[in-house]
Amino acid sequence: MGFTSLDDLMRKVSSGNTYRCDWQRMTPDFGAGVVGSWADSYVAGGGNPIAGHGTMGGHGNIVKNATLESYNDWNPSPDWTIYDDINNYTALRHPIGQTSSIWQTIPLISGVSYTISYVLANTSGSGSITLDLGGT
Amino acid sequence: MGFSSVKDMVDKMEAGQTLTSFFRKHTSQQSEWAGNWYDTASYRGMPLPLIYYGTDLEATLLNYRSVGGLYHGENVAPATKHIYKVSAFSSTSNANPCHLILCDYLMFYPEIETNSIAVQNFTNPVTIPRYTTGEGVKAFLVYTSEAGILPQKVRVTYTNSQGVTGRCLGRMPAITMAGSPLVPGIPGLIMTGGAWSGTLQAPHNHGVFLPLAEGDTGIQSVQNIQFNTPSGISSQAALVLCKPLCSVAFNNAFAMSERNYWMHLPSLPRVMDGAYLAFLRYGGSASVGSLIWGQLDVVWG
Repeated sequence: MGFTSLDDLMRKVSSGNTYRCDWQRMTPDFGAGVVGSWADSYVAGGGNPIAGHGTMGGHGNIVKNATLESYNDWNPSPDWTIYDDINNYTALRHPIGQTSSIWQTIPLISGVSYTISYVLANTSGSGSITLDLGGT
Repeated sequence: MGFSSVKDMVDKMEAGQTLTSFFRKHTSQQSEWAGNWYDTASYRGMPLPLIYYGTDLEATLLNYRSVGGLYHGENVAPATKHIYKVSAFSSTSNANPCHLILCDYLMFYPEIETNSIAVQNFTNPVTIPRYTTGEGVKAFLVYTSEAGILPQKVRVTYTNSQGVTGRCLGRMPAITMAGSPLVPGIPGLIMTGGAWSGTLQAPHNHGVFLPLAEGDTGIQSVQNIQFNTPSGISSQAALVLCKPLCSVAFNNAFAMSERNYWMHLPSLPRVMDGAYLAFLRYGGSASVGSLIWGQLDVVWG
């Protein structure tokens, strides 16, 4: 379509056919940028809109309700302890060696690949982790 | 309505359907930090300051006819009013550089206690008076008293522009000031999660507007807010819903910066009848009691 004339552009913009989007990006805080290099501001820096998580990937691989990083949204069985570490990541701790689960309800988008990242630390003994994706 | 052609707009201007409005604002008498956003509605000057008075945690409407704000003329419906030009400059060097975003403030939730970690539930006896679907409506958090002294994270639950309830921020932004060490701030400071000059940068710093959950493009109303830790001192804040309209920036004292929204950036942002207009200010240097002057030119048809 485009515009047929300057008058047409005037007619369109003054009737509301415009869109404004405010954004803010930050250069990475984990190292200096290199002169002469290009950087992907979406993954590297924080800001608004929200960047792809450094350990969870980016570019659309964000859970749609985007609450995975809030400890308030998890539904743990009683033997889990949930805490929020200094990096604002949701961290989960299982103090005793029994089978338990932790889950949350999130809407997934058809056709989008998701990545689940987890870290084991300060563990003893042995065990396993099973990741389930299900729902109704 | 709008304009059918360039000549139509010129004819309307020559017929007197235009208005120039002037503003003059003082930045705080306390030192403001470079790299932070501030709410000029809270500043002294003309128009008079907005003190965000209302019932605790209750949605409170903002309308030029009842509250004030930058004057933009009488209601013009069924015609529509548009921003033709925005100009601004500072008469003091420590206000530079500076970036301003002109917004239509729609509604606010006052008396949020930042020193509390309890869920603070909002009441919504009214709905946003303009942009009623919430499309394009943003939110910012502004201190209405002395700001807190400790970094915080915040969680906000809202209803999006599709009417879907229970939406929440994409992540919990850190609420910190730029600069180090942290110092008590001032009313009008907007919680931005840090800024370019601070040492508290983190991937979750978000800027002047609170980020929305993935896929959301606006806010109809807000349901509650919760901080993860106390702010260190008892401080009050307001959560403001607004619609950004246009921007202007200036770099040097006494050098007026002008943006013409037809000749330079052909977009003619609309000003709704009853709009409460005020600027959000991004300070590029530490300023104390700086003066910001400017004018707004509108045309309707």
